[in-house]
Amino acid sequence: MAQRRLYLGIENIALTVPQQQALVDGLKTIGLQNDPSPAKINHWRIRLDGDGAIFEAEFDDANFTVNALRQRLATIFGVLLAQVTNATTNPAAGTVLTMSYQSVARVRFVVFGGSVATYQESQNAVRAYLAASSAQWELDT
Amino acid sequence: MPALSGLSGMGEDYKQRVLATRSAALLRYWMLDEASGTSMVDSSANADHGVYTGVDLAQPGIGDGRTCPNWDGVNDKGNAYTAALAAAFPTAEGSLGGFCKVSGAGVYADGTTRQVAGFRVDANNRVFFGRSTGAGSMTLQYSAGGTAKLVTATLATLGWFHMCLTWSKAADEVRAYINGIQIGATQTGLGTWVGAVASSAANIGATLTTPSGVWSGSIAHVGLWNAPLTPAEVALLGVR
Repeated sequence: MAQRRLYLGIENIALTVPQQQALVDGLKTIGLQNDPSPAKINHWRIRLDGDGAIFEAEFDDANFTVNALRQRLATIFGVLLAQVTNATTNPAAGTVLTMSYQSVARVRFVVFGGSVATYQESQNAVRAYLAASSAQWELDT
Repeated sequence: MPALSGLSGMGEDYKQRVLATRSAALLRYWMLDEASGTSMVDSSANADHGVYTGVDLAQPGIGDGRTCPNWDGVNDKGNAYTAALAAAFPTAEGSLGGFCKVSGAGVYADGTTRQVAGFRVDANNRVFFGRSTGAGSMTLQYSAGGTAKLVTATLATLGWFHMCLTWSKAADEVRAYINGIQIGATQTGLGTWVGAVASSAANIGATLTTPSGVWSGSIAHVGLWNAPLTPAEVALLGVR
């Protein structure tokens, strides 16, 4: 699988605090953990209210298939993969996967710039997103 | 033969100029020229290193033959906090300066605060310089005990520029400089600093370690002194 540097966002919709923590802790462990370049090591930003995060790293594409993300949630919920469903949209920010369990939307993943974006395209997308939602992310606005 | 200090850095290593400027008062000097790794090296005598997260190292520097990091404006930071820095932080008499460059013209127009370098206890006790929300505006600010003293300039340059802030409670003045030239009026009526710098709020290229207020562009040669530099000293530091 190809390694690709990009930005991945998550937004909590209806995860419990332990579920959200498990998801964030899991996402912190994917991608490079050691590299001479700090830019390639998985690092993140947490939204002011704690209900969103943006990760950046040189990731393995395998981590970002729809099934891989569904499986991650299924593991957190302790349920079968088939019980986690998804809906995909493509707004300006990139590819958005809304994941549901028992027909309730639980969490949103955003691959900034879309699934085939270059690093620069992904960065442009996440910066546009942050500028448009600065009240949620910036201490001083 | 002595170095030709102040003559636009001709034939002189900028690093040596920083190290020679009020050297006994130089608390920290983050040259920011590392080629790899996460250690943000303090080249002052204190060797109190910080930690990089996410930055792209080894980008083109100020023209002194050294490289510098680039901050992505999203989730990068240079965390300078150590217990020793918090204990030694110059709350009443000090100077903070460094070079920076924006990643593109959009940084001046996106309405986002972005810190180049800063240290804070809270919103009422802090010193920093960086982007403020107005179009093209850069702010240099010293706040103590809730009394904010700040100077704002409007810039449009896509090249390197130097920012420096000096503060003195004893002399009751704060001065702000860009490229070695004082901007705005000397600020007076300083408050009294309360508290210790927070572990999340001693950063280069971000306001907090969350991170928020992430700089978008390059930063080089950030120095922190425990004395207010004179206008003549800042003039020497403010040119490449």
